[in-house]
Amino acid sequence: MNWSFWLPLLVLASSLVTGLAIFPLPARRSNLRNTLNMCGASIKVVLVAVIAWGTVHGIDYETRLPLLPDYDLVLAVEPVSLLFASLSAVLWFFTTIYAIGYLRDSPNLSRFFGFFSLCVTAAVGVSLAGNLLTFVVFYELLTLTTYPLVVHRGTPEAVSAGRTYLVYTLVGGTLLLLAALWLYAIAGPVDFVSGGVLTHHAEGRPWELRALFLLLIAGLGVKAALVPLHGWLPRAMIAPAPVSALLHAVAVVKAGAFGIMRVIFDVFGVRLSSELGMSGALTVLAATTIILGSLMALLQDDLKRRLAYSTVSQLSYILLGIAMLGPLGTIGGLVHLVHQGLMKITLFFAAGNLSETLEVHRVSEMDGVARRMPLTMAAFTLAALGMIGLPPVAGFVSKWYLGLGALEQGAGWILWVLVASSLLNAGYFLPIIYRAWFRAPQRSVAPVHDRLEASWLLILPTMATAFMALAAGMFANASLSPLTLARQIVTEMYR
Amino acid sequence: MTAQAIYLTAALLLFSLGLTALLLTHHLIRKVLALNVMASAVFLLLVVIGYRPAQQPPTEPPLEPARSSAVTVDSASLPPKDGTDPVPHALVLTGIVVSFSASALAVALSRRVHAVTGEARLPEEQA
Amino acid sequence: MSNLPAWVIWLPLAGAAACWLVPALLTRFTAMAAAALTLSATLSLALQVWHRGPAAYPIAGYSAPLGIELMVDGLALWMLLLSGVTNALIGIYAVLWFPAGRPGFWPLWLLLWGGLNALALSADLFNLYVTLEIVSLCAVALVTLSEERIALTAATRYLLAAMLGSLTYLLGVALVYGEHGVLALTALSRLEQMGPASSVALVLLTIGLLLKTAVFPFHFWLPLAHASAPAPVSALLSALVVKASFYLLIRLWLFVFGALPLMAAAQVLGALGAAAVLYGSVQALRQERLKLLVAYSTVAQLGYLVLAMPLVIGTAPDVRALAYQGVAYHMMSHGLVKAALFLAAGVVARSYGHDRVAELKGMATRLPVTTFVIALAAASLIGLPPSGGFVAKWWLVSAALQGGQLGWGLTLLLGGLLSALYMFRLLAIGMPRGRPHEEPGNEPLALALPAFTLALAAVAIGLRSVELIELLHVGAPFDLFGGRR
Repeated sequence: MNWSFWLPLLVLASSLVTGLAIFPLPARRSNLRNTLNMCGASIKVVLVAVIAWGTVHGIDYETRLPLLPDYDLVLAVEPVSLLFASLSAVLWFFTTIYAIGYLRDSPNLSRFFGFFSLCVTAAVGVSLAGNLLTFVVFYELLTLTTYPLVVHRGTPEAVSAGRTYLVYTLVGGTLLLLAALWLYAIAGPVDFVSGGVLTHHAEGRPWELRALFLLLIAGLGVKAALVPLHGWLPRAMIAPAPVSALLHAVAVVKAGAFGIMRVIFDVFGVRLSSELGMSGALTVLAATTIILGSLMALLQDDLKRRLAYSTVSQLSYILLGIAMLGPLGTIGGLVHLVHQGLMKITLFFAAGNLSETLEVHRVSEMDGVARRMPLTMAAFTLAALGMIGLPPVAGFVSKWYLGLGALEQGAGWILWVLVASSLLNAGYFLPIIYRAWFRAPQRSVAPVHDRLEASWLLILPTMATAFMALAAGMFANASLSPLTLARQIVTEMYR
Repeated sequence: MTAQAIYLTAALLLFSLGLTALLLTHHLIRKVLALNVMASAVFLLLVVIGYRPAQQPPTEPPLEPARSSAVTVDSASLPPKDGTDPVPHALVLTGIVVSFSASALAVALSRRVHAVTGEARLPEEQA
Repeated sequence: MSNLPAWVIWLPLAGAAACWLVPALLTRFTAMAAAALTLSATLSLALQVWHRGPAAYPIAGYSAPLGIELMVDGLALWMLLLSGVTNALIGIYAVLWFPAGRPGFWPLWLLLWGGLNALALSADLFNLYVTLEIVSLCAVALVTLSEERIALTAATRYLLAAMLGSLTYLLGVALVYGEHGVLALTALSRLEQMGPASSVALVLLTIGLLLKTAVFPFHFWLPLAHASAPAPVSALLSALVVKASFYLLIRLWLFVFGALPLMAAAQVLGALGAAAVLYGSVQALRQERLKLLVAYSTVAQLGYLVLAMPLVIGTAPDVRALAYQGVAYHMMSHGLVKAALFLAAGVVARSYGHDRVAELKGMATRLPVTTFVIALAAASLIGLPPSGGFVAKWWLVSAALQGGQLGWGLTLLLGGLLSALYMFRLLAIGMPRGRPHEEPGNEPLALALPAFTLALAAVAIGLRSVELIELLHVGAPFDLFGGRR
């Protein structure tokens, strides 16, 4: 048996099989369902760890299956894909625990967890995709599997949010498909190659390539929530908290950002991207998104909506770092891919805890909630401080490298963007923290002393991801930290 | 004008006549009749085509090598020397059978429509 | 050469005859036995052609031009396989659908199957006319099995349209014979140029087939006929019957008259297809009944097939190969999906007692498997991966891009988005819970499973396209694939 062929497939299968096995389970078999879920999630983490270990030791993992004549489905493990895959696997593990606690005995759970598993399969597929066809396949699969999660509640608002979500993502997917076919028409059946595949085809058709670039960014920008393609994201908040957490931290939005990264580094290549002058445009777009997203977040009273606009803004940090096309900026972008995931999932877990336990949905209702739920709010505070960029939380590391990248490129205005957005971040997070810890509760809620503030299934994942966000910042130089990985990737990329 | 041309024109006229009637009339039996007129026009055309004066062979030799070891018909004998081509006749015969069965079904359906709706025409309902 | 091509036709015909003869109680067993035999003959024929290449089979030993020849090549097999798999699953569904005392379905169904197979294998224009008629007459008769009153008038309208189509086609056949004196497709394919009479003939043949395929603006008969028929019949009609006449259309245009300069005419067909895609989708979006929605979706999807004609006709060989594969894939994938959808619509109608779309709240909870079928079908109709629809779209749009006909490609993509609109409208209505404590469990699983299998098959062909395409390429009669193979 050839492990380097089978392992990437097994990574996908660990959640695919779980999902397919869960669908037919009757609603009352909750123990079996939870066991299956946890088994799948644990196996995936272990498999990704094995692959990570192998990759560090120089093993090349690649699965190549013929999908269309001349076009293969390629799952290749590269350091970049590993970064995203391990993020998905680890966060899926915690989100599964959280979802089990959060949804307990609400209806249609088999359907929910089935699609939940398929959704992660698609996300990991996106991360391992070794060519644009594979990427498109999993990218679209992601759309399809997240839709039932978004509309899971079945309320009119959920259905209408689902419609918005579909309109955006399907149009984006169609643009991406067109772009992929266009790429293949120009370059033939090519895989992702570090340094770009279009270099040899660039002669004499800069405008065609610019149009292709735009089409790709437009297709991927929908999921990456680039302004003005971000409209679906705040509306998709209607989904249950674990879904929002996964959607915002890992699966959907990251697929878009990750895809843009693939396009710039592995399809066009750094040199061609800067020659075409398109990266400058992307930088401006990302900067605009950062500022606008933060401003919109400032105006929201609904906690989850505020977090959603914060996501819009934070995602563009990743794009900003990538679009700067310098090694330091790229490190910042890559590392933020992970850091933003850890921090944002913590924030959503915390928001879910508040709404589930205290029925608090709005910022204006949050006075004094920390007295009732200190652990939750501690995690929330930590992650929020990270988002603002305070050391030693992970967000600081990202911003530090982004800033260095901006200086390296001699683009001082980007520094101002970073400063402004940090101030705005502080503007929409600090009031929450202040209210929660220092204001007197509106309703007299007796603190709970005899037991945990909520089910441990909710508290444990929240604490764990908060801890990881802290650790990723404090031990940024440790050998397996996201930063170290990102630096290795970039060293190889710019060699 | 040769006899062939006259018959040909007649066939095409008949076909157009039938088509017009099919599109313009509403009574189902009239529609079925119109279709039968069209069918007769096609059969007439086929019979005219089948008549080939001996010195005028078909424009294209109708032959291709048979790719099996089965019985082959001596192709040089087509069309027969007496000036008629039997193939269209066979086609007409088959065509009549087909058109007969289709008409029979159409008449049966028309009767059912009449029995159920009380009218021998199709209602204007559209989906 | 074995007799398999003949068996594929005779078995269902003999089965149909046997269904009349045996006592009513045994009808369905006889029919299912005939179906099983036919399916296995089809599969063996596929294997044989896969190993030994294309074959001609002279019936009773008389070869063309006087005898009737059957020809098996990749495209014919494609059609046989589609009809075999779909028919078999629809048959299983029909066993559970029709009450035991109503045996009318079985002989007509087998006759239809036999006609479809004969149509796929026939190799001369007139013989094709006869098989077209068999298919149409059976189809019309099957529609009348419905209890709905409207089915009767719909069937009558369908019959009149079909007869008009046949006569137009037959007039074309007569003109072709008048000019060239041959009817065999292989002989016709060697023609270097067309006289005036055959140009008219090709127009007539095409119009006749477009009428039977219900391509816009000739679609008027389709929605009601397909929607008012009993569920298994709707599935047969939408999945197979309209495909049969399209199959003939593509065989004529591509294989028989493929060497002729028909680019301009193909553009006209493309425009019709584009109109069909837009019109059908918009109508599907407006329908209030599920079966009508699915029927209008058929109108739209048939548009895709015709839309691809400008990409297949008169383009460079590699573009042509891509577009041809795309068309073939779309035929198969739409066949499987549409059968699945109509069968699912049948389950919905049985379970709810109606099929009014707006009142299907809670469908996802009440009929989870059926909803899943609809979702899978939606994915394939929209062309989302991994599904046959995706593969078809991939090839068609690449052909458009590589052939410099971007407009058709964009129309295809737009059509995919439009089908997303009407399919997800349906799914979105099904998501909320109807009654507060609705529990699944009343779903007629035995009915839902054949539909589920069909939907899975539509996904599966998207995963195994390499082998299927190799089969399709067997014996493509002229240099269709010069650039690639």
